[in-house]
Amino acid sequence: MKPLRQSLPLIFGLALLGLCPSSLAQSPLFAPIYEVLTHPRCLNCHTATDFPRQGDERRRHDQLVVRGDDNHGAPTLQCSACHQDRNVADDEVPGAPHWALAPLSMAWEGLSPQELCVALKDLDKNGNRDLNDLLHHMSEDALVLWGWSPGQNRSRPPYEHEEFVRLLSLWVNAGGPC
Amino acid sequence: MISLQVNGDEHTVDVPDTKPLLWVLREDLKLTGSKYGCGQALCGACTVHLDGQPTRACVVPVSAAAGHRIDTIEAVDQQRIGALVQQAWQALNVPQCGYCQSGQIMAATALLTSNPSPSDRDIDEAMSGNICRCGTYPRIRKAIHKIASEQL
Amino acid sequence: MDTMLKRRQFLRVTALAGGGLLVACGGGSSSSPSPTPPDSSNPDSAPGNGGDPAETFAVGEFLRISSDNSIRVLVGASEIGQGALTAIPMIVAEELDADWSRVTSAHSPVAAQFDNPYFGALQFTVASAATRGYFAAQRRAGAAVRHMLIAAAAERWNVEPSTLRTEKSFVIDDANQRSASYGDLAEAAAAQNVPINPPLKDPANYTIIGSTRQRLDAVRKTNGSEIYGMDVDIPGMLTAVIARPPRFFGQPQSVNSNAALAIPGVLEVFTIPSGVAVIANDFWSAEQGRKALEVSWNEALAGRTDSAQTRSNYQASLNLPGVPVRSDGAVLLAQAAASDVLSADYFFPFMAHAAMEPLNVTVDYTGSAAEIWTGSQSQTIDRLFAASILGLLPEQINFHTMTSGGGFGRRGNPLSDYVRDACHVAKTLQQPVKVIWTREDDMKGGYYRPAASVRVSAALDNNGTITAWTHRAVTQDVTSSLYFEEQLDTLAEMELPPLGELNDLETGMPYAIDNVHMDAHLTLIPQMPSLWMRSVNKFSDVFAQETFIDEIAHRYSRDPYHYRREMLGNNPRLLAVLDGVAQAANWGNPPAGRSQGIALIAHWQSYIAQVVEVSVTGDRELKVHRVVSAIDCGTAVNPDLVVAQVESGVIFALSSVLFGEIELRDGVVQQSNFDDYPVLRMHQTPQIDTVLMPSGDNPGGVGEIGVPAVGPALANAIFAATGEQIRELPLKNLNFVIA
Repeated sequence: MKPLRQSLPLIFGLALLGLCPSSLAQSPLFAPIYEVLTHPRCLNCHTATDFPRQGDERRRHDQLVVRGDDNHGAPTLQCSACHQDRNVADDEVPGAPHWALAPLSMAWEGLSPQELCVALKDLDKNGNRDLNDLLHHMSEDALVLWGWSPGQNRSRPPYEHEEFVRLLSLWVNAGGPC
Repeated sequence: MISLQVNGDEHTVDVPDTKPLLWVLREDLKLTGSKYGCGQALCGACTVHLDGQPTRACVVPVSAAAGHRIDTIEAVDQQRIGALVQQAWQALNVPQCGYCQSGQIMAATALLTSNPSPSDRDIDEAMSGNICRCGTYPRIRKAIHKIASEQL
Repeated sequence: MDTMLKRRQFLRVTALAGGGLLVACGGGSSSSPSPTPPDSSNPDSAPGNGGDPAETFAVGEFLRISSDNSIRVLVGASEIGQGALTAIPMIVAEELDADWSRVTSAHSPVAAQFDNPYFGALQFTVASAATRGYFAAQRRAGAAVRHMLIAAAAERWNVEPSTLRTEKSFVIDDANQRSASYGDLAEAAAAQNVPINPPLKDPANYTIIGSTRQRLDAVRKTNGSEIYGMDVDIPGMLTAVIARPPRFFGQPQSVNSNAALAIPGVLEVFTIPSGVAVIANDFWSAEQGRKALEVSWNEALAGRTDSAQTRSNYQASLNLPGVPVRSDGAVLLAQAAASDVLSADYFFPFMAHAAMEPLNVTVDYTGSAAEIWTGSQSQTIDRLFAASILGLLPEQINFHTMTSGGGFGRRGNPLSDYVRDACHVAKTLQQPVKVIWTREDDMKGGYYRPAASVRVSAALDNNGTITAWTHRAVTQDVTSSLYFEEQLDTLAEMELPPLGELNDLETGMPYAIDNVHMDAHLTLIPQMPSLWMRSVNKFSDVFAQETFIDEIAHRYSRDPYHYRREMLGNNPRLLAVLDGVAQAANWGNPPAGRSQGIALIAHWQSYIAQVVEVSVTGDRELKVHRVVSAIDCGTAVNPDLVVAQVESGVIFALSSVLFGEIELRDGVVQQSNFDDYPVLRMHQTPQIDTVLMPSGDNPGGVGEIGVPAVGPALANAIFAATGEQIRELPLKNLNFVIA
C-alpha cells in the first residue's frame, strides 16, 4: 500500500473539487469505488426497482422474486427460501448472511458517479453511516464480502477486495470527495 | 449428531453437516412427501416450512435447520389452513402427476396463513417459485381463491 | 388387435376365499404365473392406496369385488398425471353399475392381460391412447360381471333375471322390494357362466361416464403419501448415481475412483456400458462421490450433434424431395396453374421433456429373480430389456409400475435406456439399488424431442383459394431406435406397435384442398438419442401449417377464422370446435390492446380449436393473456379431467413455444436445470378457458390434443399484433421479453 502522505496533495485538491457543484468533474478517488458499486454483484440487489436482478446481464430475478415491504421478498417467498448464509449446491445458489435487497434509499441503479457518491454519504439514505462506518461496512460485512466470493463462474467486481478497501480508505481519508 | 424438530417430533440424525435437509427428511427420516426436483431451489418441489416460512429443503444444509421448527407435507393437515388447502386441492382435482404438489401445498398454506385474501398478484408472488410441469397453475390459483373467499 | 379384443372378452371369474369375487382377464396364454406373486404396484402396499398390506394379486386379476362391497380395479395403463387410474376404473364401474364411492384402483402387474388393445401386445401409455385404447374392453368386462351378479341374484331369489336391476353395487328386485349387495352376491356370481357378448349400456343411461369425479389419487397426491419411484425404499437398498459422458455414447476409458471412494458412505465404483456407477449408502454420498470421480472418456464414437449444424443440414434437405407421406391430386399441375405460389420455412429446436420427477429405477436382483420399481410408460418393453440384461425370463421379473411424476413420452422409451442402466448396476451389485438421476442428468440425458425443419407451400387462385398445398418435414425418426440391430433379438418375439403412427408425422391436413403433397426426411442419427415428446411431430407440423394459413389469409385480406371455416365444409366436428372457440373467445373483439390468433388440429380421434390472446409492447414485451379451447373428444369419460388435460397441454405448449430449447454444441448439451431450461411459471400463466363439446362418439385422446395448436395460435396473435411472421421457436430467441 502506498504511504498515504504521498497522495496527500492530490487528495487535498480532489477534496476541494468534492466540495464543488456536481456539474464539475467527479473525484478520481471515487471512480474505482463507483466501478465496484455498480458491478452486477453489488447492483443486482441495490436496485431501484421492486425486484432484484440476477446475472451479469442483470435480468429480472427469475421466479417473480419481489422486493417486499422489508426488502426480504414477498411475505411467503422470502430471500431465505433459497439463499442460505453461504453459497450452496456447488455454489449454484449464491448465499451470504442476511441476504436481502438493499433498501430503496440505497438504490444505485441509474446513478451517475456524482449522484451515487452523494447518495452513499447521505446519512438519511445510507443507514446513518458516516464515512468510517461505510469503510467498516464495506471492509467487513459478510454480504458485501460475498461479492468477492460469489461462487461458480460469476464475475467479480473489478478490484480484489483488499485493493478495494485500500481505495475506499483513500477516498474516506480524503473526506469522501464526490 | 444433529437434532431436528420435524412435525413436532425431535429426531437425531448422524449425517454430514452439509447434507441437504431434503435428503435427511427423505432418506434418514423416511419422510418422502417432500420431493427432489432440481437440487438448486429452482422448482420448489422440496418446499417445507422452516419456522413457518416456505423454504427449499434441497439447499438448506441440515446443520442450518437445527434449532428451527420444520414442518412437512406429512403434517400440514395439523394446521387448519393446511387441511383446507388439501381439501380444496382434492375437490378441484388440482393434482395431475402430483409430484410438485407437496411443495405447492406448503407454499399455498403459508400464503393463506399470512394473507387470508390474496390477490392474483399476491398469488403470483408467492407461488412462482413452484414449478408444475403438468400445468396445474390455473387450478392452484382457483383453489387458493376458493379457500380465501369461502373459508377464511 | 382383434385377437386381443377376443382374449379380453374371455373372463375368468373365481370366488375369493372368505367371500368376494375375483375377475381375471382370460386367455393369458402368453404369460405364465410369476414365480413371486406380484403385489399391487407399490412396494410397501401403497399408503392410502386402500389396500391391505398383506393383499396380493394373481397375475391376470383385474377386478376384485370384496365381501364388504368394495371394488378394486387394476389398470394396465400408467398413471402419468393424466388420470388413467381414475378414468379407466370409471369405464368398468359404469357398466358394472358400481358404487363409485367404493371403487379403488392400482397399477396392474405387467402381463399380457393388461396390454392396451390399441397397441396389441404392449402395455404402452403413449399416443394419448389409454382411455381410447382400453374403453371398449373395459366396458365389456364390467358388463359381463354385472350380468353374472344379476344371474346370481336371480338364482337366489328364484326370479327371472330380466325383472332385476342394478344400482350402486346392489342388485335390486323392485317387485319384491329386496336387494343384495355385489359383495354379498360375489361368491355366487363366480359360479355363473361368463357371457361372451354382454349387452352394453345405452350411453344415454350413463351415470358415471360423462360425469366429473374426483381423482381416485387426489388424497394421496395432497398429503405426501403417494409413492413414486423416487420414494421406493426397500430393506438393504443402496443408492447409485451414474457419471455419464459429456457427449452421447462416449465410453469410460479410465477411471480414478480413489477420491470418490474416500467419501464417507461411498461403497463402490464400477463401469457399466453407459458410464461409471457410484454406489453409496445414500444419495448425498453418491453424489459427492461422483463429483470426486475422475473419468476420461473415449469419444471416438460419441455423438457430435451440433444444433447450428443440424439446422443448416435440415435447411438443405428441405430442397430435396422426401419420402411421400400423403399425395392427393396433382400438385404440380395446380401450382403451374396458380396465380401465386407462396412458401415458408420453419425450424424447431431439440427440447427436453423435463418431467418433475427425474428418472429413477429401483432394482432388486437376486440372481434368479428380480423386482423392478419405476415410473414407466413402457413397462412391457422395459421388462423385456431388463430380462435380457439380467439373464432372466420376463416372467421372473416382478415389474412394479410406479406412479410417474410426469412422463410426456420420456418414460416411454422403446430403448428402455434408464431401466437398462439400472439393471447393469444391479447385475454387478446383486443387492437392492435405486439409481437416481439428478435434474442435470435428466436434462442432459438425451432422448429429446428432435429438432425439425418444415417447409410448407400453397398455390392460390385469384380469390385466395388454396388450390395446392405441400408440406415437407425434416426430422429424426423417433422410432428408429427400434431398428437397431442389437435390439432386434430382444424385440423379435414381440408384436411391434404401429410405429409409423407413433411419429405422428402426417399432418392430417384438414382443409378441403384438392391437391396435397406431403413428404418427409426421417433421418437416422444413432448418436443423437431422440424420442417422442407430447404431441410428437404434430408440434412442429401443425405450427407450420396453421401459421402459414394465417399468412395467406392476411395476404388476401381474409379473416383467419372465416378463412378456415370456408375450408372445413366437409369436416363437421372440426367446424364445430372452430365455431365453438370463436364464440367462447369472442373472436374478432379482443379487449383493448390485445390481439387474437386462432389455430386447430384434429388427431388422436379428437378435435380442438384454440384462440390465444396476446399483447406485444413496443419493446417486445410479450404477454399471453388468455387461451380459449373448444374440444370434441367424442365421449369425455371424466369431463373435468379432460379439461385438466387441455389446461395441461396449453401450459406445456407455452413452455415449449416461449422457452423450449436444448442446444448442442459439438455434441455437448448446454442446458442443465430449470434456470437455463425455463418452463412456464404461475405468473406467466394466462387465463385458460376450455369448452367441452363432446359429440358422443368413442373417446378420443386428450393427453396431447391441447398442445399443437397453441403455438400457431400464439404466433398468429403476434402476427396480428405486429405483422411479424414467426418462423422459428422458441420465442425467447426472437428477442421477446416474456412477461
